[in-house]
Amino acid sequence: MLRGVILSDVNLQNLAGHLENDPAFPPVSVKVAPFGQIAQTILGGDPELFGAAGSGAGTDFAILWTTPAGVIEGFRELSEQRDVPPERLDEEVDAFVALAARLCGRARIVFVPLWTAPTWDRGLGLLELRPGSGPGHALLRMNLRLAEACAKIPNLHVLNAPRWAAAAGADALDPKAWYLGKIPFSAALFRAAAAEIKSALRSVLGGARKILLVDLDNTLWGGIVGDLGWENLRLGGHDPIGEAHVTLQRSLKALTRRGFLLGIVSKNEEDVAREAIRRHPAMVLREDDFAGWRINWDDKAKNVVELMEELNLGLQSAIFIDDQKVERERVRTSLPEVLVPDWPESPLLYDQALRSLAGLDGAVAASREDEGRAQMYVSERKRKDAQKTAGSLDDWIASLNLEVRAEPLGPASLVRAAQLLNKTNQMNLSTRRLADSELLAWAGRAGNAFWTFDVTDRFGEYGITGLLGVSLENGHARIVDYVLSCRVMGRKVEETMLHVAAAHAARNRAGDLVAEYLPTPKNKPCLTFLQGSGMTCADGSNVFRWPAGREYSRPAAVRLVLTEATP
Amino acid sequence: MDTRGQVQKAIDAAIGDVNLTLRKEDALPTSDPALVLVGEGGRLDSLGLVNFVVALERRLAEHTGRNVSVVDLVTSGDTIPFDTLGSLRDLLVSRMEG
Repeated sequence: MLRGVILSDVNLQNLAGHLENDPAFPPVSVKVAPFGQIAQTILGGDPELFGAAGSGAGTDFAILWTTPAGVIEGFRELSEQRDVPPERLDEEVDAFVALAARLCGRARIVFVPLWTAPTWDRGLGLLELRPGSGPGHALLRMNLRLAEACAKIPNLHVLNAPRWAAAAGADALDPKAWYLGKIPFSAALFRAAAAEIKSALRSVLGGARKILLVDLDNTLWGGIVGDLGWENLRLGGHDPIGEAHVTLQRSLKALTRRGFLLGIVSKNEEDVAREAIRRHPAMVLREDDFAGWRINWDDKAKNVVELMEELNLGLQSAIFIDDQKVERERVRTSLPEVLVPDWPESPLLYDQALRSLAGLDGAVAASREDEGRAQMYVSERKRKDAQKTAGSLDDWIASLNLEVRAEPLGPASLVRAAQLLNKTNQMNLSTRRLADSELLAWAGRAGNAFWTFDVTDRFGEYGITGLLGVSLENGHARIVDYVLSCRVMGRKVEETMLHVAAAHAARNRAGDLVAEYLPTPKNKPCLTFLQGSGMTCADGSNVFRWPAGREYSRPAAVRLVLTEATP
Repeated sequence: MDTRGQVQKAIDAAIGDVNLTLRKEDALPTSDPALVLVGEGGRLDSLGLVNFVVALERRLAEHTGRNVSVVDLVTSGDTIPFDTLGSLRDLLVSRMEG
């Protein structure tokens, strides 16, 4: 259960209720600060709201949702047709952002919805957007400045509140509720806001969907390829249906550039379908755009499970799109973790259906690895093809030309490192979770060293997939974080990381290298590795040791490029 | 459906709206004429009452096709002229039929 706090200049108690009652993941418990006391609440750090310092009951997220006239005095004056120089608005927005930044010290994630104008307010007509005097122009300027300033602060995220107002329509604001209870928005707007905030939490916390599994016939293209042949599919050309399928493919292709994966689950002859993908001139998506596929006549639910296993992804990562209602029902009922959206009958509505899916919001802290994720999975598919033709495991690893680049944590790697630290469950020694700023602070502390491990092989880049945090304390070197993405597990990167840790301990004349395994329901693979790593462990203990000064050999198949960290 | 039935449906829908803002353990039951809404032992606090009357106005318009100002009922006098769900329903029916 995530703990949240709402701060506002108006009464947002209803939002807390909508958030708590929204059944979507994650479940939340929300407290509301007294309205109109934003600065006092943030600066005072009320332990009733934020939890006592060091109590472990901290705030996971805060929502700072305000009205523009309530927090930007200059905007209120401008709305009353008084002269206000734009620079004054800028200064007040900057001061508000500074306050929001202070809130980041009290909550791990802070959301700031953009400011909105009443949907029913006609404003000044043609003068509304005039620079310098139009409130509409001022609001646009303030929101742009707010968004740009917030983007520079880790863990501070701007939310698109005007979209909630648009979703709620003419009933977005309720004057009666305002005068009776200082409630600015209608239930419809609060519902839309709660859904978007839940989606934003999933994006930040790694619960976002990662892969779209799509059907082929009458989904990616019009018609049944097995009956018509690829030459006669409705795809592109002077045909509204063909054009709609191309538009859908373009949107899917754009998603891969944001790091979403695509997979195919289709009842077809594989050779026939793949020929269409390769040869149809209007296909936007080609084989290299798909992380994997199951094209056969098997049950689609079974195919979804197998494909997700092959890609090493949980079912909760998947969205399944199919034009056939019966197939959607089959997957929806047998695999409830998979998001199966209703899908329109007309292909002319496909692209709209895709682009309105909340499940596509994705991760907000898009790192280089996120953006290149689709290409990494294509490389992995080719890698596995190579594995099928290789001999022993060692031969195969040797054939990969693995290079591991170990570098101290820095600004360029911080977002990805925090993401990996907070999402990795299996090969994770302590399952320590830290926000970006907390991780950076820990790594900079005297006696601590923190590396990221960037892995490449002859098929492509895995990106930063390993983390190692070592603390020199009490006469020994303690491994605090030992994290490895499952994408590179079993390729000697584990041993390479221990080699780096042991070398660091020896170089700093520390005593034994110590790793205490903290069990969770998911990190058994880490224990299994440690038990076979050569480190010693007393019976019944979870503490593994490597003797002081002794080298831990680097695997011969791995080329290591190490930049030493300063403890 | 007669006016009484329409009003009851609107009240039930409004209670459903209010329940979306309450913790599950505080959710109000529908269709219980003895349910005390306000006053001694009332289940609605001041915010809940605001949410309820605003929702009820909208729901009455949906279910009866008529605009009834429930807000006026609770703001025009010194006291609120109903306490239970049943007395509210009867009051609304008499206003609409009277």
